[in-house]
Amino acid sequence: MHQRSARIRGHLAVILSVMLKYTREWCLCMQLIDYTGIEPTSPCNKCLNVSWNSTPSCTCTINFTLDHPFESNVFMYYGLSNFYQNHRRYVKSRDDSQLNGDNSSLLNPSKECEPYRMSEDKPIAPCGAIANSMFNDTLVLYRIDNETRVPIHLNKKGIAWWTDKNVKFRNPSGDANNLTALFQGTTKPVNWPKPVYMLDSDPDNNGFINEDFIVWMRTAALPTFRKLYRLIERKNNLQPTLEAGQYSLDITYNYPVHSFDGRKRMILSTISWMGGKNPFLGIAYITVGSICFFLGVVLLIIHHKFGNRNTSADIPN
Amino acid sequence: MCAGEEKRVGTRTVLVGHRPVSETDAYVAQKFCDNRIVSSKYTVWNFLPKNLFEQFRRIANFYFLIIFLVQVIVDTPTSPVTSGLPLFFVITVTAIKQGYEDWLRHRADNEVNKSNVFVIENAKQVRKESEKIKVGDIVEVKADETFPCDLIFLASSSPDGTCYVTTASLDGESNFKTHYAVRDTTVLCTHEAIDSLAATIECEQPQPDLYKFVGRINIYRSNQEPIARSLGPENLLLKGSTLKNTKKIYGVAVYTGMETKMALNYQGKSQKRSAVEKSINAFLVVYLCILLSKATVCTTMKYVWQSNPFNDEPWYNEKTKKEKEAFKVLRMFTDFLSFMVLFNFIIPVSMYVTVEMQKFLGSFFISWDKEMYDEEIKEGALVNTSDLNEELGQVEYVFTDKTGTLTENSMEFIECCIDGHKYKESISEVDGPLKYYGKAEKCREELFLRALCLCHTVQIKEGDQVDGLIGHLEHRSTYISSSPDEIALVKGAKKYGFSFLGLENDYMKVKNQNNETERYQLLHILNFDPVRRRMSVIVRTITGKLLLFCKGADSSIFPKVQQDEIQQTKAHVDRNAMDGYRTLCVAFKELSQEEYDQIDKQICEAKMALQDREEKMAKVFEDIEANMHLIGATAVEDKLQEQAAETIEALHAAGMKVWVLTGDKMETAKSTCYACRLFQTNTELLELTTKTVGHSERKEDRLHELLMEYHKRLLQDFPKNRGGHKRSWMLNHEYGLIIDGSTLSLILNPSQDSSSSNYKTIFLQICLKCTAVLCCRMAPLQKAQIVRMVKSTKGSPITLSIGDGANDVSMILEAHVGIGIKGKEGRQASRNSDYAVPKFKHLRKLLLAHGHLYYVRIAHLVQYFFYKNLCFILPQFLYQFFCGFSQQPLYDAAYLTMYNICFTSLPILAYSLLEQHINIETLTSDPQLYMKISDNAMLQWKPFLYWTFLGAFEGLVFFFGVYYLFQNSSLEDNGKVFGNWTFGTIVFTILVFTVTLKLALDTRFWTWMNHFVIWGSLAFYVFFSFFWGGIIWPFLKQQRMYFVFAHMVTSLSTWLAIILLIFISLFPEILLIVFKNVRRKAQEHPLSSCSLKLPAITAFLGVNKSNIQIENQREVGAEGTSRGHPSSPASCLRQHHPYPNYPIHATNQKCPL
Repeated sequence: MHQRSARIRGHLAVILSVMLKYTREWCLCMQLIDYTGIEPTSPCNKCLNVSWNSTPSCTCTINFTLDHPFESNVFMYYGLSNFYQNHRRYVKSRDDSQLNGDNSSLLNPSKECEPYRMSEDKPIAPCGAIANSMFNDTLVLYRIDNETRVPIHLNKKGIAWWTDKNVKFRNPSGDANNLTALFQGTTKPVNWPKPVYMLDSDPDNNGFINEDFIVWMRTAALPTFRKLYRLIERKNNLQPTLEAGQYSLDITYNYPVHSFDGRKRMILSTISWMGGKNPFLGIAYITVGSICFFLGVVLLIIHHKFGNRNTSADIPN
Repeated sequence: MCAGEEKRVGTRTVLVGHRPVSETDAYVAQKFCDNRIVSSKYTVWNFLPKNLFEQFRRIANFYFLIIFLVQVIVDTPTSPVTSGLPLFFVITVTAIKQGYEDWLRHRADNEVNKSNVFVIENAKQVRKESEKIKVGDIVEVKADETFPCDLIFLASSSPDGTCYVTTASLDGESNFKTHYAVRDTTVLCTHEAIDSLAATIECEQPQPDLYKFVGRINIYRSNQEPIARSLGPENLLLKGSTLKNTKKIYGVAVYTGMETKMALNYQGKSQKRSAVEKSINAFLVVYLCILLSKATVCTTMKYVWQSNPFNDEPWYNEKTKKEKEAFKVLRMFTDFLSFMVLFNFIIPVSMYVTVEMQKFLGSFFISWDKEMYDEEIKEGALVNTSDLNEELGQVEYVFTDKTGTLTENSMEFIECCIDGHKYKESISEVDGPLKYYGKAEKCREELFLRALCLCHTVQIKEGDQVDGLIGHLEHRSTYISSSPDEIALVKGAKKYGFSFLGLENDYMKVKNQNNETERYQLLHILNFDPVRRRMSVIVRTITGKLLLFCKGADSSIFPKVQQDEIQQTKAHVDRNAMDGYRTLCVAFKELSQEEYDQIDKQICEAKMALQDREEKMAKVFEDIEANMHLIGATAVEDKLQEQAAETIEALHAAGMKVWVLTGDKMETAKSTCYACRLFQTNTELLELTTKTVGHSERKEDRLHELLMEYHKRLLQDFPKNRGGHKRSWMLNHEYGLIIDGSTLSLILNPSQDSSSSNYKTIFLQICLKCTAVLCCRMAPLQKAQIVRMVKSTKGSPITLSIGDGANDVSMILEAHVGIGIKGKEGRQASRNSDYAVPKFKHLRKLLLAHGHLYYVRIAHLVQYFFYKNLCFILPQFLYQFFCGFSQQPLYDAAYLTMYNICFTSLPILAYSLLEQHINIETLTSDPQLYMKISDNAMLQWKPFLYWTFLGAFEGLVFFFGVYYLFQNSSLEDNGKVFGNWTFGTIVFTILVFTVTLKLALDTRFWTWMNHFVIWGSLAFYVFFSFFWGGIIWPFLKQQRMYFVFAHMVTSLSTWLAIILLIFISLFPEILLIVFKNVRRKAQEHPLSSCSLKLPAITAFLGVNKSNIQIENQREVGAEGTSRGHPSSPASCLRQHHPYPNYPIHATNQKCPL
């Protein structure tokens, strides 16, 4: 019984893993562009030592080619590495009740936000290290079509968890169209160029419920991480979302990572029913499946050998 | 509160009725404690502080308290709640348990303390609460009431100043004992009279011996010199005993409350600790070292990593002012403490409480066991302590009493011999005609039977009537006595036509063969004592003849009778002894009136003696019982308990060594040992008795010679290289040793000039190499000495003592596990024991099944606890390498807190209560399985390392599996990303499922309860996670878990990863089980036809253990064939025949794949 079930399990695992690998290779495309500018040849090299408040902003453009068309919806991420968003001091440096629109916390943020709690005797909104270090590069994507740059529509809504956007993060209560008044008495985080109520013109994506902000506030598990930046939706069924060809990425380079030896990336990726491209699962399933299969075969042989003897020598003592 | 130190010395003076006796005597009032019995430990006020103090004396609790305090004081990664809550839970559960137990004690105390008693004050009867009695109060006690304190018996309703008392609740003897009032106060049997008594009592300070009391009463009468009378134990009525057959008595309280003999006897029972606890502590130290090294590694790594300034303080993550200002050394220290706190869950906080609950609840299985229920006494097994359950599975030496333990202690009269003629009834017709093998003279015969009818202390107990008629004696009455032998003799005499009708006003009535009632005046009873080993009565016949009848052991009678009479009887006695019967010789002597007068005087004098009364009495008795005439001897069979032999055989086969320690004589004991197969016919007996050593001057030399000879012989048989196989003597030639009390004391206390003081070690070596040891003629203390001697040998083997009588109490208390038989010799043994069973045969199931299971369960429990906490904390440790050693916890605080107390505690508790890896029938029928767990096999370092590696492996799989999964953190089909809390939740989910499923894999015995708690725990985890993440919790500072779990389960990749990682984690286990099954199949047709098929009991012991197991089997198998025994199949049969061929594991073994 055991042998048989082990064998069946082995077969199943192999089939499943092959299937996984296959589907992923077939429909998952990913384009990864490092725009940190460490290499002197990189167009962004000039921006490497940018600081927070440098005006005017340093901009650079990186051209790249897509070899395959991206058929389905494309997800645009930014990735950082060597950035310890999971550092304890960093993780706890936020005030969730302030972010949830609690008026008393707005003016009197939690002590956990130190040293990003008060600035010039005014409470910071949003307080804390996480908010203060929010990613503020601007990425714009163009398709180069016959030497002309056609901007690609990047959707900035729908990148955060629905529950975060609608429940966990809330602007202070009051007139939603007049955020400035709601944030009266607070000041912007030190590193931000603009206060939180000026993050976006859309009142549905402004203040604490700005989706870029919400995405940033979900601290990453590992020092190398990626966060969803924009969505590129497929327009119709006739043509792929991103055709193969020349593209260019315009970067407004504001976010300094060189000081801590970090890297910045822009990632374009399609997603299957299982999420983004991830070789781990496929490989792991294949490995485990093969081992099970191998052991199943071994056990089958043993079983066969002893099973034969079993029938001949099965005399009750 | 009570007696101070200084009061223990000297005597106490009690004023009877608190009346000053004379103006001249300066009387210093002594303060005595009141009559309150306090067995409770706490009061309402001191419960909290005292209980907390006691709980924090436990190392583990103290450790968690420290961790908690660190969390409160230092800024640590987890909130104090995470360790405070489990600690609070553990402390509360323990406190509730102890509080409940104490409440029960309070209630029991109150019942005693608040009961009503009558005290005579100013010639009036005053109703009082028992606790208000003061020393010196005169107390009135009515029939069937228990005495509220220790009383000096002053007067009773019966004019002769006697009363009957039963001490059943003290020592279990249910016969009536006669107590005597002080002679000069017997007339004071009304309130007024007793109130006029002016007297003082001087007595010793309280001491626990129930049977010793020395005192003096001074009675003052107006204008007379005070009369002094001695007081002895017969004047003392003990608290706890009950007044019977007497309307009422007056007594004066001498010892009250905690100073009564009963209270003194129930104090100071030493705590026994089990060997498992020692193992737990050793493992605890290992884990503490792991914890410390983890914290050290992390702290060091942190500072190495931080030496790079952009790691220490990047622009996005600046330190607070306070942090910057702190001293570096202090910071390092705080960091170290923080890491300690972060990893502290590796020490399982709830293990102790689970172990305690397991023991407490588990012990019910013994008392519920229907197989251990005895119809006869309507009682099952009794568990007095639950601390030693698992010790039952580790026993190496069994010390057993003989009488009442191996034997029934229900004596049956078998035969007698009168003047050398044997009288034996035919076996087939119980009440039919008797067969006579030759006949003695009629008058001798009658004399003998009259002697049997008269020479005893048997009483008659009738139905419900107290003072009923004797006419219908045969139908409604039973004989009661403290000695079953006497009943057997009286009953025996009845068969031959002489029946004892009872004692009435000093006249013993005997119905003779012609149905006439003979009356004898009972003059004196010379009581039995173990030194004299005989007892006598002096009676006056109706014709005025004075007769002394004496019965006793042959060795104590023969020197006292005419030498020429001995020969013919001796042959009978010896033969009977060889047959395993208990023999008594009966002698008589006719006394002249002058002789009697002198005897009477001597006895009275001795009885009145103030000092050394017992020695004086003994001497008088010695003188009286001389120059008697031997009439005959009796043989009484002490039947073996049912299945005693099978039980002994099973214990032997289970690798235990059985020692019989008895006070009986050698021949009887030896034959019992043969009867219960302790000695086999092929057992070579080594004797160290007075017979072999001799009585001569040079007996020590002779002893030395014998010892050396035996030692040499045994060493030849057991070559050194077999030392490793501690229990393999089964295959060797068997030796048995017999030693008696006097030789033992010679060995243990050799005379000073003796050159060889190392007798003891040689003796011990001999003993340990013998299969069976019989120690006869043992005093109770010697029994304990032997147990202590074996207990302290190398490797400190686990000992078990089993006995039924008061003489076994010392050895029961001395052994690791003490077992009492709820026998006929009172309840003292079972009260002092750790476990009490109705019969000896129950020992088999108690050890082989219950003990085995308890051990396996608790061992598995302990290992599992360490394992599950290791794989819980290892990912958290590994995570430090990826979060800049910042002490960022991997799991949410709720998970940290609830892992041990909610998610994973109940399945293991249910497992450790219900698991039967081999079912009980197999365990009971195959004693060899017991050897598999000997020497604490499941808690040695090897299985511990196996579990530790398993935990470490699983921890690595959990962490790195999810780590690689998170190389791309967009795992949902809408491209949204997961953060660090999802990472931790995935790891935690895999963890909870894996450790629970691991337990499910280990479970061989599924009950609905296992299903309920295992699947229930998992369901609870899922439910809790949804709930915990489903609400914005107003009291939480951070809403980290908000919808984390819900998002996690919407991601298919996460599902796939969780399933895969659980499978990988359990893969080694599954593999092991599959391989074991394959190998067991392979083992089913090995070379020998009679190999043992052992169920794979040790799925958890790792491969090594089972290797040994298989090899052992091969050895057994090879032994059978390679020696080429002509009777090989037969020998196999002998070894394994009684045991079924385990169809069990087919059903019992769960299909793991």
